Amino acid sequence: MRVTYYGQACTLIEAGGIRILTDPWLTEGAYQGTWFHTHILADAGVTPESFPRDIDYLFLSHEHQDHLDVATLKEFPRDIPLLICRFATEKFHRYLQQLGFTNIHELPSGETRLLGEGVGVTVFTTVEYTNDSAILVEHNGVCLFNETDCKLAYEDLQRIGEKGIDIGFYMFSGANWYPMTYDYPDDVMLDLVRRRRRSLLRSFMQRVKLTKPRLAVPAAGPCTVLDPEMLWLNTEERGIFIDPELALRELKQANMPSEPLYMACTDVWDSETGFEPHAPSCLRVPRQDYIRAASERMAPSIAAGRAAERPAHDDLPKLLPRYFGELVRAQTALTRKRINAKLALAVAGPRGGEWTIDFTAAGPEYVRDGIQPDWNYKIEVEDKLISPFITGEEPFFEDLLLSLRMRTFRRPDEYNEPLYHFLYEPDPEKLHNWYATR
Amino acid sequence: MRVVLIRTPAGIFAYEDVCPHAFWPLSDGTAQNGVLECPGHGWEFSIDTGRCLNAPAYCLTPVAVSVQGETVLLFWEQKKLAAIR
Repeated sequence: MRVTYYGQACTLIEAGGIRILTDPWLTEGAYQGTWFHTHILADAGVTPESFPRDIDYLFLSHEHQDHLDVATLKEFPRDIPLLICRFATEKFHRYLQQLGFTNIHELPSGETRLLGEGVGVTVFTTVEYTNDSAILVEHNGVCLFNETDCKLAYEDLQRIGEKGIDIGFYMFSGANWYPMTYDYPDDVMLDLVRRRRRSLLRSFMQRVKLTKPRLAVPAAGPCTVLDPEMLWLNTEERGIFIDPELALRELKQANMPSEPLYMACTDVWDSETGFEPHAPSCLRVPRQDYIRAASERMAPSIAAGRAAERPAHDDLPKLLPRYFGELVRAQTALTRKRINAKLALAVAGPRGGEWTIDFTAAGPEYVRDGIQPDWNYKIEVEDKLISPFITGEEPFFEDLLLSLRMRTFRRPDEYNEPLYHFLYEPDPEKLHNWYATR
Repeated sequence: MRVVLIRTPAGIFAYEDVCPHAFWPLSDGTAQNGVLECPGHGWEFSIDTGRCLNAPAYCLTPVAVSVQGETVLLFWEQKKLAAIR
């Protein structure tokens, strides 16, 4: 078995004459121009255009843009076999169909599928409400695990560990907007970031310990934010995007049987010959130095991208309350009760406005003009950024939050998971079923 | 059934040894400053109430504790589960 790493969760796995590519994100500037790879892929000579086309299977773990990049997928034929996990809803499957893919194979979580010459592929679904999955590939007694950024149940990880993993790719960095986009006093923010980073690294170590790979590769991040005005997000004090070197150091210090392995873009591991460094030396400089230089280089294209952003839809002030009103109305009383919140949206710009989405209202109207004084969660965002999510051009609302180009506030300062689930996938049946059993 | 038993200056607390998020054993986690942190994904729980500090909808399942001299008795559904000295 041979695996080439292409950053984030993208691995090209070659075994038994079959080539499986996982989560190809080969462009830069995901989530409205915010997310770049740990290292810009072009620095390692990797672009969508130059990428090998002779891929037999694409595995797509979930819909996040750093795992499913529409621009990258355009480089592959529409009838390429796609491997995805069977999730609770068809949303992910339908999205891939809308992109034109015609050969989608849904694999039930935990069931092994044989591909070609004895290559076993098993996908595992997340334990969370989200649609996310990980992949295990086995061939000739060699076993590779790519966790992507999927949070698996303890039992599944235990089962994966019993397989005897030769090489495992593990998430170790944060990949969301908490706590950075929130409104905390400086000392609280610093403490929250410190604790979150500590917790992420501890979790990484525990998952490695449980799954016992021979080689553990920190992967699926960190993203790099190269907008010169947002560089602070990459710092150790204020951001949760962790330097892979820190994960490697933790593993080394823990003295676990698993050997830490750093793989940069284009590096290879081969089950017969071992590690082959291919990444250029410029990818091995200290992270903050790399980021500073990359940001300077990318600043003009980032600025051009911002300038080219389309204005909000003219009818946004009418569309937005209708959009949320219909979504909340479609939910069951149980779901609205579990969300039990007032979500305030403060949308700036020429097509902006202020609204409160009140899940506690008796209905049938759930959206009111203005910010109600007793809101629980507030999002401040520009009209042009939220607009494509309201018009349906962008199908996944969470992508707006992952852009980090908004401010968020919450009262009380508690994670409202049902509200997050609503924003993630407001499928009434899925939400109801999830909360009816919890 | 596995139980996680935690001793703090406020007393002894016991819960089912499973995180309600992804079912990791909490006994592999860390306990400090009144907070029990799950080893799996870092979810935090108040040791004295079992309430999840990240997502208040989640709570640990408590196991009744009675301390008699040097013995800790654990009860589950009215029945004595264990006596630990």
